[in-house]
Amino acid sequence: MEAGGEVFWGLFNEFNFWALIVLIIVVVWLMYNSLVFRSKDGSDNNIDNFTPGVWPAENDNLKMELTWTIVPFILIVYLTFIAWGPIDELWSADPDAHEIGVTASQWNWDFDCGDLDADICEVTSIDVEGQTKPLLRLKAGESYMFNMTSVDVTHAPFFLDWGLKEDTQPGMYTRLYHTPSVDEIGSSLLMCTEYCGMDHAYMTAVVEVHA
Amino acid sequence: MLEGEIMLKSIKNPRAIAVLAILLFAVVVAPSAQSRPVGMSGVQDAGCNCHGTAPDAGVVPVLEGLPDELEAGGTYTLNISFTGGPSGTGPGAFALGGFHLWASAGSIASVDNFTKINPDGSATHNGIDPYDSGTGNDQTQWQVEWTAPSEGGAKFTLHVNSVNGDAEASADDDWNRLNAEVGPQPVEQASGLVVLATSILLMFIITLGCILWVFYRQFPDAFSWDVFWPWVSDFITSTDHKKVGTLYMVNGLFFLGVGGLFALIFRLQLASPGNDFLTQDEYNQFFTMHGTTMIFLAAMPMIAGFANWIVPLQIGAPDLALPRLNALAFWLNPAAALLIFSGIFSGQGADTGWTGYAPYIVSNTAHSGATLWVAGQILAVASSTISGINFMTTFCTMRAPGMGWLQMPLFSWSMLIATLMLFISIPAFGIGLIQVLLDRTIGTVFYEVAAGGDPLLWSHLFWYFGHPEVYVVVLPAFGVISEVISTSARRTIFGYKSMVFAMAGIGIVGFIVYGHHMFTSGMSPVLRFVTMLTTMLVAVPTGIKIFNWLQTMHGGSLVYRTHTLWALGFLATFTLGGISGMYFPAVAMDLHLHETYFVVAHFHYVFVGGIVFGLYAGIYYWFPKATGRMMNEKVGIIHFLCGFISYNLVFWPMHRLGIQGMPRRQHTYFITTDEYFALPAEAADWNMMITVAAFLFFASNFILVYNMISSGLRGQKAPNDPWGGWSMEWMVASPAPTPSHDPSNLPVLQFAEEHEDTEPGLFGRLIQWMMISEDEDDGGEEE
Repeated sequence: MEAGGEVFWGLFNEFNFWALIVLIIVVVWLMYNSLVFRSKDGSDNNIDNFTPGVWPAENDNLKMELTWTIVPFILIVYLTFIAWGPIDELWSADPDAHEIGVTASQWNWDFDCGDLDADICEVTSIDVEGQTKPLLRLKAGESYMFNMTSVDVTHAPFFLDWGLKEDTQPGMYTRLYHTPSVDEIGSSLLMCTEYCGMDHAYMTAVVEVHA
Repeated sequence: MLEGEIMLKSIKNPRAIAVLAILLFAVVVAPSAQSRPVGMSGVQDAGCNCHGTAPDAGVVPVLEGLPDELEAGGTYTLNISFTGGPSGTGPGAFALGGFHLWASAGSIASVDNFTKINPDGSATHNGIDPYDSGTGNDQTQWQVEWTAPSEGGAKFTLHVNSVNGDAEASADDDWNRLNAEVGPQPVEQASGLVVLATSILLMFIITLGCILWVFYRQFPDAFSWDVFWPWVSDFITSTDHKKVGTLYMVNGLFFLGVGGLFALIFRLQLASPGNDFLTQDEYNQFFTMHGTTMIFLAAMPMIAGFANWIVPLQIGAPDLALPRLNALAFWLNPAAALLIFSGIFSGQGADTGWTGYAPYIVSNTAHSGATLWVAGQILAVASSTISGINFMTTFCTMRAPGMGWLQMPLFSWSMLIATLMLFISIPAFGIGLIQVLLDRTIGTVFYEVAAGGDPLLWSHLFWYFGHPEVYVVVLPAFGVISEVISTSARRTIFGYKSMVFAMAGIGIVGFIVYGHHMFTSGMSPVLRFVTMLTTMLVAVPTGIKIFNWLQTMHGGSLVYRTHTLWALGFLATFTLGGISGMYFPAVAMDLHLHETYFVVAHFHYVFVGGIVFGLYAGIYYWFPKATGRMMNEKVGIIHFLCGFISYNLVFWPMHRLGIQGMPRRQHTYFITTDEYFALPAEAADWNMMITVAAFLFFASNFILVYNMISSGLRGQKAPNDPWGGWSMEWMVASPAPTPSHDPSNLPVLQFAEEHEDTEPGLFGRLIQWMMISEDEDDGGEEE
């Protein structure tokens, strides 16, 4: 298993590629300029004739400045474009999804399978480092909608293996859609990722996806 | 005599007397109402307060039957008794005494019906005459059985009451306490709070020691209170922008150290999974205070310190426009710090995170210290606002003759834009804080969801301020880097105008990006989408600045000095921080990365690699101007190498941990087991490495402190313009005189190239329109 879902890794690799290119340009440029244009003997060659209280000679080049305004802008537009598609995928509501209620409280997760089959959704318990925590069992290939709320303060379930999280807020419902794939079969720890007080770090559960 | 007169005057005012009386009454009454001996941790510490407020030595508790050599798992009969006190002397004496026995390990069992076992495992007498049938209260000795734990020893606490038999639990009874222990005792572990308090005290003593040492070395023959006190009082009552700037810097560096201590202590906790160096409660307070201290008590004062020192010198002004307000703005800072910290030493410091999210901050589970934290933040907001007014007025009215808006040095421009941003953003934070304070103190319901409050209101208010705040602290660092790179490369900054417009662009776009902090909050998808676009956009002006800095070096003659190294280091680390920031606006990635260590890595690359490195460059760059002495370059280079390497060792691995899914603000982390998938086993090693490197990074900063003190006292004398800069601070002597520029002979900006005086642009006309011109002002209302 691996933290972060398919959508995350797809984007992440693409962003890494462009980040690396930008980084190489900056670092090579930085190295080149700072080594080639250094004062060879360490003495002060006052190239632009700085004198205190005198506004120095202009040093600009509109074409170059426009270049590094427009080229990064195009890159940004491209990155925005590739980041756009997956949002649709994340936010598109599947009307046939199985609804699972999630109620967070300090410092417990409460999953509610409603009247779903035990094969599709079942809540049992599991031992996490000496504490009994809920175990949510789901079926790969089924589409789920988590309908989430909180009874006290803000919490956020982090589905580690899927790379998804969404806050649970008191007084309102938030939703999260996911269809676990066959690659996501296995159990992973669910942690709280919105600070909620004393036992925040121990507000865990386990999500198991079975075939 | 003077003080006496002032007191007499105030006594003549009846309202003052009334206020004083109320205050005195409150001080006397409030603590005693709170400090009944039941205390904060219950009956075991407080004792049988219903039988009298304090233990009485006349009652002698006895606990017999504990072995000299403890056998693991063995069972022992314990005899409890007491002598002395009013036992049985009262009229009708039917109750004689009682007891309560706690054991820290093992288990206590009752052997007869004179005793009973409480739900918490402790033992006590059975029954209270005459209200029930138990007769355990009619005894002065009891027996219980104790089974030893399978390993280790145990500690016992025994309370006995000698009662006078009037069937009332009253102060006429006496009680006493006995502590006993048996078997091997665990090594006492230092509490995190004790470690913290000790280290902060140590920091304070070191700071005081440094100040004394600096004074002693300056006046070795006059080391006496009579000379020292005027020296100190001159500093603390001064309204001179340079002295206030020094105070800001000392304040900022001190809290940089304190904030670092918080980080070191909670890094110890995170060094290995499942560690218990800190309790959860302490851990939550420590990361809250780390963030708050670093941003509001270290970064903001250090920036204000630089601005105080440099802005008037740089724009050719004798002082700031409003020197008294300036001193007031500074002195609000230590007060804010005291308030923010006062919670933590009661063990109930703010535990809300530096973001202080509602509804948690107004819930019952948040610590009571959060109220003080909020109050302190309000003072910090006031301080920033006041100093902002001052800087804006200075920029508008006190630029040297000949210096138009587009001839201000870039550091001054960065401060102007930062101040404008602060002005537009900080009211939202102030309002939010006041609402929280009211919610927490007088019971308003701004954030009470059950009463119809919006659970997202605080997040919106906070991040509307919080994101521009990041630019408020990073823009001055940009300004410093612009000055340092230009001067070191001996080249005019490349594209001065595009630098100014890029900063202004950041200033504008910075206000419409804050939603990227709330992609997972359940906020409207439309708003999420819009802020995704704008956040992507903010990379463009930032990129322009980086490329302009790089191009400035082109064709130059870069002179390597310590501040040059820090500036080059800044370019590398800030670029990394900027690039990692680009991962968050992509919502699909943010859903995984939000609230993980990837975020922690990103903002430390921006805050430390950007702001702190920029400010370090500024310290090395302007130190000669401030003290008249050059800093030691060799020590400076050692500082740079140690600091830069250990800094990257601390924060680079955090990217990896974040991608692996390690959440921030968590007391511990979970490693993958056979049962479930969590963090890989290597995460523990990375965390250990981060902790070790964090200690190195912390230590490396003392090289800077040493360098500042030793160079300030013994360094070479500095010329007026040691680095060959062009801006006006290099025109005056080093150290800078007071007033900074002679008001009767203000410098006039000259131009190297032919320069036409142009008509003021739109911005210039707007400012002129807002100001009262000197001709119209009749001056009659001035003193």
